Amino acid sequence: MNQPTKLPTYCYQCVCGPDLLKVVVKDGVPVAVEPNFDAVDKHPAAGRVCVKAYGLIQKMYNPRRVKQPMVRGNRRKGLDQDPEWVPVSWDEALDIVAGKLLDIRRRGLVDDVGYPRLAVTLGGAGTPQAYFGTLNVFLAVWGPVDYSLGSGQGVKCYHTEHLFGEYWHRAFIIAHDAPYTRLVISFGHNDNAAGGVTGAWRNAEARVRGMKWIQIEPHLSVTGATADEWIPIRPKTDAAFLYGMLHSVLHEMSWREVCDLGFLKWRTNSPYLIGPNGYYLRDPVTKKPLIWDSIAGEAKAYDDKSLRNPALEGEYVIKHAVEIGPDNEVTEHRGVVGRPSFSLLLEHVKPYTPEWAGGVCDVNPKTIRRLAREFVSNAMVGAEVTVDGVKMPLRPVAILMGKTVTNGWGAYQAVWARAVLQSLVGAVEVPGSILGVTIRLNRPMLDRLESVKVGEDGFMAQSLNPTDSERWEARPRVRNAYKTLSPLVLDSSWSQALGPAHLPWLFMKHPPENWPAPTPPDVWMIYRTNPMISHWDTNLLAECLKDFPFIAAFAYTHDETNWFADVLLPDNTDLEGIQLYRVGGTSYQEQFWEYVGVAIRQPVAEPPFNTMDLTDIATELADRTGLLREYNTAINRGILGFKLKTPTYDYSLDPERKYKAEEIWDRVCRAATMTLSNGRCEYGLEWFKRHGFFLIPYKRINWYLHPVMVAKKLRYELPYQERIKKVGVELRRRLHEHNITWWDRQLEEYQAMPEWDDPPKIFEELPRRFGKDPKEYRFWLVTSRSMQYSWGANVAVPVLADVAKHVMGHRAVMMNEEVGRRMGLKEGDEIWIESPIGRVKGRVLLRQGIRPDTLVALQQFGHWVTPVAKDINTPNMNKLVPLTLESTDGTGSGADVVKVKVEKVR
Amino acid sequence: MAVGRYMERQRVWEWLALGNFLLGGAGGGLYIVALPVQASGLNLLSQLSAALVVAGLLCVMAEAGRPSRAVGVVRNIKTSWMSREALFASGFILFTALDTLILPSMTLKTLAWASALGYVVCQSFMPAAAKKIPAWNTPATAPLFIALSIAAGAGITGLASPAANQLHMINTALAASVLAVGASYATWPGATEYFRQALKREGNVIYLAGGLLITALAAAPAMLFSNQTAGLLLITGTSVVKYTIIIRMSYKLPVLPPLEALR
Amino acid sequence: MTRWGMAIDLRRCIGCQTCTIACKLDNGTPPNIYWRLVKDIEIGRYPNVKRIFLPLQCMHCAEPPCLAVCPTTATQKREDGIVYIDYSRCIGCGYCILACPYDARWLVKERRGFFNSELTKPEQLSPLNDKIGVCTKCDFCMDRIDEGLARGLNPGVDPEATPVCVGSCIAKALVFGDLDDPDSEVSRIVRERPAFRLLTEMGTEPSIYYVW
Repeated sequence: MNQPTKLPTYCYQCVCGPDLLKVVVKDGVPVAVEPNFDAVDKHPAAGRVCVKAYGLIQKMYNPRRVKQPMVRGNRRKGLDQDPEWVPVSWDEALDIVAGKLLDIRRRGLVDDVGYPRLAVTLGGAGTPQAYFGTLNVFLAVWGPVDYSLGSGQGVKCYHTEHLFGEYWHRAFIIAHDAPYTRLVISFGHNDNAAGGVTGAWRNAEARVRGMKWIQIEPHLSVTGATADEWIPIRPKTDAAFLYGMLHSVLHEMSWREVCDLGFLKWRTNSPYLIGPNGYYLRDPVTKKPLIWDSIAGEAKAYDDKSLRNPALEGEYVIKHAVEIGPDNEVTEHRGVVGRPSFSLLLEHVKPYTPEWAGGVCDVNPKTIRRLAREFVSNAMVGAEVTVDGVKMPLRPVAILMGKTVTNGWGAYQAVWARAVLQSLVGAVEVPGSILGVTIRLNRPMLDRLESVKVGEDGFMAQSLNPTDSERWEARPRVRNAYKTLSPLVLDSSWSQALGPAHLPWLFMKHPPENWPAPTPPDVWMIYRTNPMISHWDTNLLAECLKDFPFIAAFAYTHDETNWFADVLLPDNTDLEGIQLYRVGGTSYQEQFWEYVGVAIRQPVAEPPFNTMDLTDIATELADRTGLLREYNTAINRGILGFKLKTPTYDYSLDPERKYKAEEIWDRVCRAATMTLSNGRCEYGLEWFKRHGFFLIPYKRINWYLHPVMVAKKLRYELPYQERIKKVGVELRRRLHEHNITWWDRQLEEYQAMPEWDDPPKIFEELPRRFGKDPKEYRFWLVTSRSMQYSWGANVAVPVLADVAKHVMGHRAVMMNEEVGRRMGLKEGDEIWIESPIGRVKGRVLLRQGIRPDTLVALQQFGHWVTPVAKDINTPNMNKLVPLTLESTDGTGSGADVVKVKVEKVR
Repeated sequence: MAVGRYMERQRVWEWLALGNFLLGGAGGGLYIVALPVQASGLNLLSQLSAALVVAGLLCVMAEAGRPSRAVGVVRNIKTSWMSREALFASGFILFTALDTLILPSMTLKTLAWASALGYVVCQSFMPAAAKKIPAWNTPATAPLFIALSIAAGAGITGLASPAANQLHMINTALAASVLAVGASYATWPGATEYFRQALKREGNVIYLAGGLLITALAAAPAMLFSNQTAGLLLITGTSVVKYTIIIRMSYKLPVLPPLEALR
Repeated sequence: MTRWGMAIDLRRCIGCQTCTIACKLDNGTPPNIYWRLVKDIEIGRYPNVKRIFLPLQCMHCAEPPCLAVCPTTATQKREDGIVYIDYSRCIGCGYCILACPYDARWLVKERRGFFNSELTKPEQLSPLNDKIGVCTKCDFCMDRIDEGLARGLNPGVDPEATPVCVGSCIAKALVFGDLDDPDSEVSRIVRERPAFRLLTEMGTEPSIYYVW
């Protein structure tokens, strides 16, 4: 036997990568996976990859794969209609798809209602892009594509954190600065499952160093396991806990002593004076917001150089000021009373005592009070640290949040309260505090710091979707109407997917009033996604899919969604395909690198089945639909991350020629290395196949937004949400002008300082909508991620099931032991879990680490078609979560939570 | 600390292993008893005894993953009770065969008897050395199994040769020792929580007590039970006890960290 | 003398099973057989509950009960403390499994892969393919150690000469090295942190230390 070779590649199965690995190949067969130890000093987790990467070899050789292209034999579609797959050649399959696409080009790219005829749905969290080859190039040159048919996002993601995080501090994802943090208060933030290897590595280091972690969540998760303390909390009441902490800091402590007054005065809108209508009081001439200078005893513009001591508290009479309300309505005031927004904050949180919060959350008020104290004392207000030669405040406290906390009703309250608490002690974007890891909505997407531009009123510029009468998009361009309904989701390549991506499905079957009902797309393409499992209310989805005329599914295995497809295109899997992808910097869930660059994904052996590289598929589709010239030109322009032609080099493609994947990526490799090295290194594909990655240093100071905020003299738009309030009124007017009132409840969320409006009640009362009695549904059913499966598209890989079963909850629904006993249940008994819209069966795991009123169904299983997965036999909560407007919040998200009842299977 | 949820049964030595303990043990016990009491049809009983030991060995082989390598089983006489058991079993079979088929002799009988005793003792020490199984790994296990095997042997003797010398007295003594050793097994002072759990769970204590009591009935005055009935009681009672310990009580020792590490 | 051992930092372990799967892949163990795994343990009563992850594997005991009971001498202990099985001698009697207090030994009953009898190409290359009907277990990746030493590498420091699980750990919870060398990292950790070994009351003298 020859010595094994080790081929470097990357893994981006979850939203935490890409991480680097090597595949051990013996006699042409990949046999093992190992970390890429060449990157020990460069990768933030020393070149490690998580459990999922070790399943990739089996994923490749899985005999249950779709092994060649297939077309549907049965013309009817439905849950009860076997597709009767017929194998075909790649030529035939591509011709069929290209034929449908050419039909679209002949008939017009948008349909009669105005929606794109081509729709594309991708799997979770941007992971498909790392396996996409050049498919995005084809889609980019196609013209209008509808990406808005969701596969579960909104309900399965940190939706409200994404939107408001980017809005407040360019933080699509918020992480703690683990190397410095002293205290993490985590509301269900499941870092040990979803933080990737970097999260695991950094947190382990931090724990050993002495970082304290408090985990507040209804069940004791894998993250709670390594926490110093677990505090069980009633689902969906996290915001109340935070409000209790806010009250405690602001009313039970001496806030002037414990808060970072400098930060509040100079880095937030705390001193901005608010007028009687709730808008900033502005200078009547310059229209700049006013601040009361308590030394001068007069109001001054926020950026007045003579401003010495902005007042945070009190009432001040301003001789002449204006308020600019919605639609730029100016209200002129003389002798008006203005109050700093901080003063309003004090008043706002006054009723939310720890006793009140304790009652709501089912937590001892003393605990809330203690955590408030620990939070401010660990914030070390006044401390400083030097990073890369820059002196910065050190504020080592971070409040983190997880799914179901950061999405759906109550999430706005939660993310606002968190941001405000952090800002009280100046713990925003400084060492030790909460940091944005990445941006996905603002531009430029690759540079978070660069995206901070000077905007109006002393804040960073925001490019919210317009709500004024001229520019508001009255007629949606895509089926989820993200621009129409969701100002905060902006208008970038990710925005469609983050719009209310469940609405197209809901509205297809239940069109609301005065709205262009979504049409089924002529062609629907799906890649690395299985919405029939991952979406909520999957039965409704099935009803919609029956009417889709043509579905082309890139398929690894048969699954519940491609059950409805017309063509299956088995593309190369992770270890079979080829792609160069960006790595490093700060990115994704919790990646904080001190390097940035690119890494290769390469075939580690001949593909065992008749599959095709996605780049070659995209090139074929471009060619067959007459778009090859545009396709090659777009690649030359740099759509794959690097321009193929600059004044220093020229690797451009001949626009008329069809290239193989290797040729395209070889040129991208060369362009990437030339760009990153400023023309010093030119490495092609062969070099990358041996070396795996090319990195250049990335300064740690770039992890923090603070220096940019200081340099640009910007303030965080906290705590007062004047702009949000205004936008809400404008949006209401626009919708009402079009007789749309079904979004009114969502518009109530647009508050300057959100009230606690009992979000759990919305979920508790939902059964009434289906004519059921809420009292019957006594359990909260929630979910939790598993590192072994999250985002991985790997449920059909049996070795993962083989190891995942050692982690509680992979084989059963978790329930409190005493409650189960009282119901006469034994471990392993089968139970029915029933919500107002359906019921699922599963085994029960009785454990102590879960609230008596809560059930947890891990991940999302419940497969009935997908091989291997269908034998896992663990229920999926998605089937039980009703898809309704009632459960959709103002940002357009729902939450993984539903009230259920439980019964033993007889 | 609720350790209960971490207790599960071993699945390595199941019915076939029990077969060895029941058949082989009784076989060895049979020879141990039958020879001194000069049971009628001793030759046949000797052969039956050897056949039972062989049947026990066959059970073990059937349970083993690589029975073809069985010969290697005697390599570790120094420390392994299984090697010793196999060695004594082989000796016993050999001596009995020679004695009953080729050259009847008192020397061979004595050697066979010593081998049977060695075999029963070694077999009884086997479960005791299984540190994974709290219900086996006790100081009383081996004495109990020795008593059980010999009592079962006495039971067979009673069935086959009810008129044998002193049988009632032997039965009484054996039944009493089974009861005494069994009681001390169930109540040994060094018992861990796991041993107690194994005893407590799923009615095991009732099975154990039941088996011991059935065995003890053999010690009843001769007017109550014939030697044959007493034999049946002995066989049944000791089998129930062995079944209870080998199958029902064979919970594995959970691997848990010491409590102080968790605080 | 050298005595190979491991320190496992329970503060670091997150129960992700990366070591479990890395071991499976590298050693080619079939489904349901785990030369190592991380146990997910819950102790206490609601709401005072503690959940901990406990990595388990062969403890390479100085006084291995498995070795004592093994009738065929298939189980051996090397000078450097590694307890291994000579698969050509094992008869698969299972006695060692019942003697080992740590659930570290696994009987491979049949040649079955993850897709039942249909072995994939990588599965066909598993070094365990001809080890059927025998007891198997962790051998501290002794081939890696031996080959590494032969190449002048340092087990515990150089990944290629270190057990696969150690290199795979994403939280640096596993440290491998020479317990007899007071300057090794493993010795230092065991010395400096509160440490325990599992089930020492069994008189096994394990070479795996847990620190917290």
